[in-house]
Amino acid sequence: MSAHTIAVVGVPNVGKSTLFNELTGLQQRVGNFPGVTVEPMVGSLRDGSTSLTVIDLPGIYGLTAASEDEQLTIDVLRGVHPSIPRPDVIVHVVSADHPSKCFGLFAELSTLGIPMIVVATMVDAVKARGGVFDDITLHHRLGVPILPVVGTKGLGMGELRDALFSHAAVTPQPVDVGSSTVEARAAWARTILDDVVVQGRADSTTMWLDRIVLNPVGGAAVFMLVMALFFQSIFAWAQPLMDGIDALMAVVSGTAAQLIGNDLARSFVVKGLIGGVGSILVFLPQIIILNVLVTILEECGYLARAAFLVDRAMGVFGLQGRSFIPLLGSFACAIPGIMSARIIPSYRDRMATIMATPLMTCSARLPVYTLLISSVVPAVTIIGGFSLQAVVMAGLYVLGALSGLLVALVLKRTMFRGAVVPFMIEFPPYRVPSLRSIGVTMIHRTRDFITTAGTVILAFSIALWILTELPRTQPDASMTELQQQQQQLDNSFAADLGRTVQPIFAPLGFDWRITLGVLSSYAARETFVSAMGQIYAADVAESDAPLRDVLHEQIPIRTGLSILAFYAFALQCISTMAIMKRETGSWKWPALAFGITFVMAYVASFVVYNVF
Amino acid sequence: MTQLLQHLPVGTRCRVVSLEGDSAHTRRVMELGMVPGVWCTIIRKAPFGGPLEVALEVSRLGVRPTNDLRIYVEA
Repeated sequence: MSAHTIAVVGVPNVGKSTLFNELTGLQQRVGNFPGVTVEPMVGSLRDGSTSLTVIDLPGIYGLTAASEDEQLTIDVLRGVHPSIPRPDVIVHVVSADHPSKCFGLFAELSTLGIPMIVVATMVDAVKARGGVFDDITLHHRLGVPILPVVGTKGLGMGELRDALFSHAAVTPQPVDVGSSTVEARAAWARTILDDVVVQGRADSTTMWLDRIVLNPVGGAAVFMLVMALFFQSIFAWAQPLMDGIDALMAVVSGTAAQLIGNDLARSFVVKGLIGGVGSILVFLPQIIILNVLVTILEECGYLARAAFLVDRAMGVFGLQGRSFIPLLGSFACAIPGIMSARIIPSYRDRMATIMATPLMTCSARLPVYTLLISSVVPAVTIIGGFSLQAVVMAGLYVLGALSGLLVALVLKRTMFRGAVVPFMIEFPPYRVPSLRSIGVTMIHRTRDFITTAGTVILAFSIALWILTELPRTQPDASMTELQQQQQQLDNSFAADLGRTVQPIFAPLGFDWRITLGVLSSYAARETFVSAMGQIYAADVAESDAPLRDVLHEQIPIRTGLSILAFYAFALQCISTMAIMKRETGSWKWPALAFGITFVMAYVASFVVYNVF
Repeated sequence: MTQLLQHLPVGTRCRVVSLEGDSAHTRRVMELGMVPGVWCTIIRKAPFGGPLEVALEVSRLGVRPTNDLRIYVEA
């Protein structure tokens, strides 16, 4: 069996990943956004005893890199990458509707001395609009095989497979364009393509839609509508699913509790393990919905336009149009938000954006806000018929967004100082997104979340169990179950910790019980709600009132507002920090984000506590 | 007359004369098809000095030139 390696190479946005999926059957996404492929995906092709390795490399425009992704591709092609072998064959994917930039890359690739096959996508679209794509003449001019395919329909894949297995690839004559400039390559491409590739009529649907979508008035309306739908789906549609997962986990832990006799083992399985798994699963509906929405917006071509529309507004905070996508996603959860920051090519802009994401009001803050607002903010109507509680809630969202953008601005003026980065983006034609691609993305991102964030959450949840459930106390048979739980918590390591740490939080008006609740949120913010439920269990049991009424009695208004201020700013999410570390390559950045947000949270709480 | 792309009014058809500034930025814009010699049309400008939408032969680009990316054109 020969170790034959094939690299799929092309400029961004030509259907490279779709071709790779169709060819190898391995699942990977295709995006309308340039540079969406970050880690190279590897697939294999088998024909009897012969096996070929196919690598999908990030898109490039030439052999000079502008980003890390591009550097990877170039290193692999030059054979200097430490882990990925130099390919034996290049499958160069070109798009018939954007031929000049694609064949500009061909001139560069031809100098590598690697056998090539050129695969042309969008030939059907060009011909449908009355254009010409003469693959035979092109083959004679370039000297390598040219295969037209329709990636989304799988047409031409058999021919490509046959060509790869029969070693049909040909090493082209190195193209000499005179000088090594983009200009010279473009000029060469034009002569090569002359009379061979002719565009037909313009894509009138895209032009017509852009007249509305990119128009200042119509664009703003469409933008608002898309955003409204976005938030509606994340919050309203995810809720029943999240409730369902909670209910399911309750059944599972109930069953487990009955099956396990030993008190300590039961507590570990029910609260540590099942509780931990539950807190991972409960995130999934929002993460899946968010990813599906972002993928749809991206694939249909809207995200590039949205980035264009908000570029000016983001510029006020030192960011650029592309920063908008990660920040928007962070309203559901900072984890997918940080992951999507990869689309920002400028390192400084990307880092400033990542540092701002934890301050966007994520969905995990919502249960905390809901509990505290209903406990401490009077349910009165203020001027204009608005409920004061709703106004406080909306205010916290605005506060989060503004403070995040201000953090980005300050960082761009200090640590990530540099010249204003120009913005450039190619508008892809509008397309109907492929269901397959959406499904693949969903599976990919979900798996990514479970492996990266899930393991951290589970570990933290077990650590939290050790802190709150050990050392064991002897239950007093005369006490109710809730009172026993509270007695257990009162004597746990966590209570000791809460009492030890409490002096730090005393200026914010937190007693040791609130301190304990806040500390427990460092696993995941919404843990605060269940922790408060446990901490105040006895009071709830005695008065038979809901938790929020108990808190209303126990927590002064100014302390309640102080806790709200703390949660609005603090980065209390170990999974966000884990993802930040992975995306930035160093624990330095999550540590810095943690520090900045802690100081902001502390100062804000202190001010709120002392003003009210 | 040679001038900066962003100074032309919407609807102007112009020819790219030269690109100056940071080489990484100018190279990327050229790779997206905006090479000296091509004709382009400013389709629209985002309000408040935002980016421009430019139509090239077959593609549409959103571009916000800065001091590091100066696109000189001839109307």
